This record gives sequence, structure tokens and C-alpha cells, in this order.
Amino acid sequence: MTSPPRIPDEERDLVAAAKAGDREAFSGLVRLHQRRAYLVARAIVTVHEDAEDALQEGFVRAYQAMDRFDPSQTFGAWLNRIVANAALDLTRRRKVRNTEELSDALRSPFRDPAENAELRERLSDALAKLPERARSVIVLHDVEGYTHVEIGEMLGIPGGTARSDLHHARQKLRELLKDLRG
Amino acid sequence: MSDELKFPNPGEKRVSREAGSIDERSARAIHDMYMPPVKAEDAYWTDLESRIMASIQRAGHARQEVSSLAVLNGWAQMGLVAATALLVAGGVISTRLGEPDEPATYESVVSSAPDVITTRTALMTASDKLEQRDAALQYVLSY
Repeated sequence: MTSPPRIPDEERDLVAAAKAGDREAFSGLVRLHQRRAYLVARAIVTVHEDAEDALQEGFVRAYQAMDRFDPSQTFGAWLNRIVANAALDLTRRRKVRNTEELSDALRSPFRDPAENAELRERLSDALAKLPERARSVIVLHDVEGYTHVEIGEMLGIPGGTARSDLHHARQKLRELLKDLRG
Repeated sequence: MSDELKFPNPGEKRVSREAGSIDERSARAIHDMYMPPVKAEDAYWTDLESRIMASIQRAGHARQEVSSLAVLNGWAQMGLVAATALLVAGGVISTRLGEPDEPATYESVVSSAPDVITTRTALMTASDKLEQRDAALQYVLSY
């Protein structure tokens, strides 16, 4: 049996106020959830600017749908699904981006460019070679810690498909990185 | 046994490492690659929050404009319906007002009939008098 999610008091109060139309309260929800939501968007669209666009679009959609949000659920999970949808819509509109551009986008400015330069370069090349959904699944699961079910809900696929995609993505990634020394 | 990888940013999930997951070093590197490419993180998130709220406000205004246009559109439709109704009503009234013209014409024809008849009577009377005069003349000449 699934137990109801534990919702922090701060979030519950902000959700109640935002549902009543308080824009400041929604701003508080943005503050609480934007980092996680950004990473969800980034895992799907890869490019920073696109992730920002998807995030903004996702928050706008969430704000407009606040009256339909069930406060017994966690706001973050609901928001992530909306942001993931916005990111998927964006990728559908921008299918033209090729592997080389993707690899460059992944490699571009990191917080500490000197550290693990080779690892990052190899990882970005390898990730760019994975199919879009496989890349999103492996990043959301192995890097950001979402479950198969959560990933399935975000990407609009069954949890079993997310699990199978993850298995294949890991195999492919290992193959691409097999000569990388740790 | 699974160990956990905790990324340094607040609000982030604790990632359980399970068998088969990519190694922690790669996961951390990917996580860093997927962070926004900025140095002053706090300032970046504060700015992004402002931009998000600004786009929500813009979207709200756009929605209001659309709903105002929808209201105007509704009024325009009502106006169109009202104008059509007025035209139809006007047509009906005009038709109704036009109908008495025929009887009036007919009546005017009928009412002018006695004049014609009178003229005829008058003509007939004159003709009768002429015949009488001819008869009288023939009578005098026969003597």
C-alpha cells in the first residue's frame, strides 16, 4: 500500500495561498522548486537556454492550473511532470539540433572547467550519442535520483519502459566509456 | 548495499546508488554539467525566479486581453444578431406597410368609377338628345 506523501508545512501553506490567487506565495513555490525542476528540464532538453525556456513555460502552465492541483499530492512531483512536458514539447519543436551541437552544449561552461576535463568531455560525447529518451532516463535516474515510476510519469511512458530504457542506456554508456580510466 | 550520493545544492534529492548505476564520479560530473553555467548561483536563481514571475504576469495579461477580446467578440456577435433582427423586423414592417397600397389603389380605381359612369351617362344623354333632335328634324322634313 502506498502511504500519502509527506508534505512540508511551508509548502502546504504556500500551495493553499497560491491556490487562493496569492502570487507571492507562488513565487515562494518557485523559489523552493526551481532548482530541481531546472535539472528535470535540462535532463530532457540538454541545452541550458532551452532548459530555462522549458522551466519558465512549465511554471506558467503550473500557475494557470493551480486550481486543478490536488494539495494532498506533492507540488514538486506535479510541477516536474508539467516542466517535463514543456521540455518534451520544446524538443519536438527543435528536433533539428544535431549530435555535435549537443555535445558542445553539454561541454560548455561548467562550474570548474579545470576539474575532470577529460571525464566531462568523454561523458558529454557519450551522452550526446545516446537516444534522447535514454539520455533523459539515465540522467533522471542515476544522476538526479528519480524512480522509474516518477520518470515514466514525467516522460509519459510506463514505468517498465523507463526501467528498460535505463538498462539499455547504461549498457550503451558503459560501452562508450569502457576505456575511460577512473 | 546501496550508498547515497548527496549533491551540494539545497532542495535536491538524495540519490540512492543501486547495482548497475553509473559510477558516482560520472554521476557527479554529469550533475555538474547539467547545472546552470553560472558562477554566482544564488544571484542566478533569484534572477530566474524574477524572470519566471514576470513571464507569469505577462501570460496573465495576455490571458486578460484574450478574455477581453472574447467579451468584445461576444458583444460584437450580439450586435450582429441584433442588427440582423432589426433588418428582418424592418423588412417585415415594410412589407406590412406596403400591403395596404394595393387595396388603396384598387379603391381609388373603384372610387373613380362613378365619374366614368357619370361621363358615360352624360355621353349617353347627349347621344339620346341628338337622336331626338334628328328624329324631330326628320319629322319636320317629311312634311
